[in-house]
Amino acid sequence: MFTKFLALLKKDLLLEARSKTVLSSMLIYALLVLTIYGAALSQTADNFDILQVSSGLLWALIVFTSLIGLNKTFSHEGEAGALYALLLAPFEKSLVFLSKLCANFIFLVLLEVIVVPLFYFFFLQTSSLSVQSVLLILPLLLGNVGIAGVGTLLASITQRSKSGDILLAILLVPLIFPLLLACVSASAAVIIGSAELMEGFMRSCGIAFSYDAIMLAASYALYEFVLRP
Amino acid sequence: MKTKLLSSNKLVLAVVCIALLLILLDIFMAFFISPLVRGARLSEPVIIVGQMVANKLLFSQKIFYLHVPVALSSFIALLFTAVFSIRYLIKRDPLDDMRAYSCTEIALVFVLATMASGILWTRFEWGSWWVWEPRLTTYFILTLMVLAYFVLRLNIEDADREASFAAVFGILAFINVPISFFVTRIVPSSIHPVIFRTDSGLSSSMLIPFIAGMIGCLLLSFVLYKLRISLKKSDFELQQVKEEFESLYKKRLKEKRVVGDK
Amino acid sequence: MTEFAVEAYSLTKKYGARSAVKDLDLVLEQGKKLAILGANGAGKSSLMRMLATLERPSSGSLSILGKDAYKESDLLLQDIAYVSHQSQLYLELSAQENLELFAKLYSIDNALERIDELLEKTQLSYRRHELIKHYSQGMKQRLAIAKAFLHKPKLLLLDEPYAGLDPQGVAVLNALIAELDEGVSIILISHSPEASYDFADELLMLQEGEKVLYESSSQLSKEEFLDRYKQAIFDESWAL
Repeated sequence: MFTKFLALLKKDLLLEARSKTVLSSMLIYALLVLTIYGAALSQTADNFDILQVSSGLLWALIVFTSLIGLNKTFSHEGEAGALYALLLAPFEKSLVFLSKLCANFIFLVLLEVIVVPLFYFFFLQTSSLSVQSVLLILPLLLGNVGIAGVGTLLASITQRSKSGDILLAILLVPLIFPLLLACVSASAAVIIGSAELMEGFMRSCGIAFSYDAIMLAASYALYEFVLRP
Repeated sequence: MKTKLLSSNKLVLAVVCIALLLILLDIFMAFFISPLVRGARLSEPVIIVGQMVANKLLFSQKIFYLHVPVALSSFIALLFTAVFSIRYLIKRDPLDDMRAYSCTEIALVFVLATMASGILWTRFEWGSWWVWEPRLTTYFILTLMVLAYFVLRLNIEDADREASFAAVFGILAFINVPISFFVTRIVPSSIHPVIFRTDSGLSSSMLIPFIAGMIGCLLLSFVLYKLRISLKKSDFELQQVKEEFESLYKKRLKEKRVVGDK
Repeated sequence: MTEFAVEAYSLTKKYGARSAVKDLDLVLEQGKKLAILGANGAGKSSLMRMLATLERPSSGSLSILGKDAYKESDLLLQDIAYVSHQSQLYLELSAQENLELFAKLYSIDNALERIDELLEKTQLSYRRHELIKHYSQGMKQRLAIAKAFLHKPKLLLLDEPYAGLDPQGVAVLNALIAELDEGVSIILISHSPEASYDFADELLMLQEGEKVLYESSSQLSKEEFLDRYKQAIFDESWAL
């Protein structure tokens, strides 16, 4: 079964490596959002403490951009009806969920590898980041798991509907809200880095982790009802 | 069949009256009989919209007597949505799908009522119409999820898939409710104060209106649910009858034509 | 075990209130070939999708190769293949990569040899490493057929398989079918009554989801069959 999972994952990564549609759209979109942030923050005073909002801004960026990528989860399956082929092959269909989830997770990580430093470049150079900022990796990974997990399930639902793009957003954002709160809190804690905040950091990460565990288990269990042409 | 309909209509009417009476009792007692309650105790003094919010007797707290029953009713409605959704996914009975749909409609009504009363409460207690505090935030997310349910249902063309997908989303949304509830309260926030409510036990003059309101809301939601589901059922039956009629009609036409040809 | 290829009783498929297939009884022995004909919208594709376990019957019973098509569909998938109008392939992968993926998913032994064999037979070997988005329609269909035969299914479901094929492809498909084991059953949808009569052991004609003809080709003369086919189509065009 693991070999089938690997075959599926390899297929998704290979398709992306060749067509590059997901990563390129996400990157361009992220860049545009950063540009808009530039305009949005252009009126802030010199002594404006951007560290307070940077966590929120970063996560807003990630969520919006992830929608772009998630919408394309099944684009290759849709081109020539390959989805039927997957449905007809004798294997656990939940492997499709797992492989697409991993692929989406990887895409998000790759996106953040570029976008987080970019965010720093554009907005955080004049602020004194705390030393613990490196710990930002943890909430980022936890957030990615949750977004990829719930997002992949919902993308399977919305893939063939006409208004699929906006429908995915409408379904995803409310479901992802608790995760978002936790990740923003954890990220703010490391970016600002004060002692009391760091206490909250592990708690927020714990909350994000619990969210991921619960929602992923539920998504995995419900997936068999959702993969349809 | 006619007498059955009539008597069920009377029953419905009776139940609605009882429900409304109970709710009115709730409101009446809340405003004229129940004692005032101290407002929220905060971990530190906070200024919101230029007003110092602290421990003071609040008239606005009275909204609680209607706000909580309504909120709980919406939660219970969603619980039933999840239950019927699970049943649908297991048994694939279209009736379960209709039930889940109706429950969500009821949930929508009560969730909007919760939002309205919640906003009013916040205005009178905190001085501003909206604050990103746990209760309002949770209910706002809930509202969005219920609305999303309807957007989903209206946008999937195939009826089979619509039912399955709505069921899956209904279950996920319901799971998300307690998560939202807890996360909004537990997430450590660097900026917002943690809010403690002095919810010591309710005296009987407070308990009675509350329970009256609770029962009233539950009865009302049950009645509304029955109305919606019977509407859906008759719709479905009408469609089936139409279809059978059409195919029979076509057959007759064909037969006539064959006879005509000969 | 003498199990039938297909056993359907009172098979019905409804989309909401509209019935696509009404109360259909169908029994096909293993090793036999069935042709399904009918005007567009007569319910042929709905029936085919139910046979492929892609859609659940609204009511009635359907058993394929001795197993319930709904409850035991997982067990069936290894033994059935479905060729539709779309090629069901990944355009940004090569023929080799596509077949290797599905060989893994179908747990095929000696996958590489089997793939070589089929690519030879469908005359696609020389372009096996090219991305199939560069293939012509005929080539894509040929590859779809190769994929269908890959796991040696016991039941082949073909939806107008000759429609997208170039003459080369027609020859390829005929050759592949001729090579099949005796026990393999074929159900195909066709718009050509003449070809169907010659090819199939049993003929099924649908009109608005209902069966209007269901006979063995041995029990019906070709002229009679063609007559009834024309009549059914003619009727259809008169329907309101």
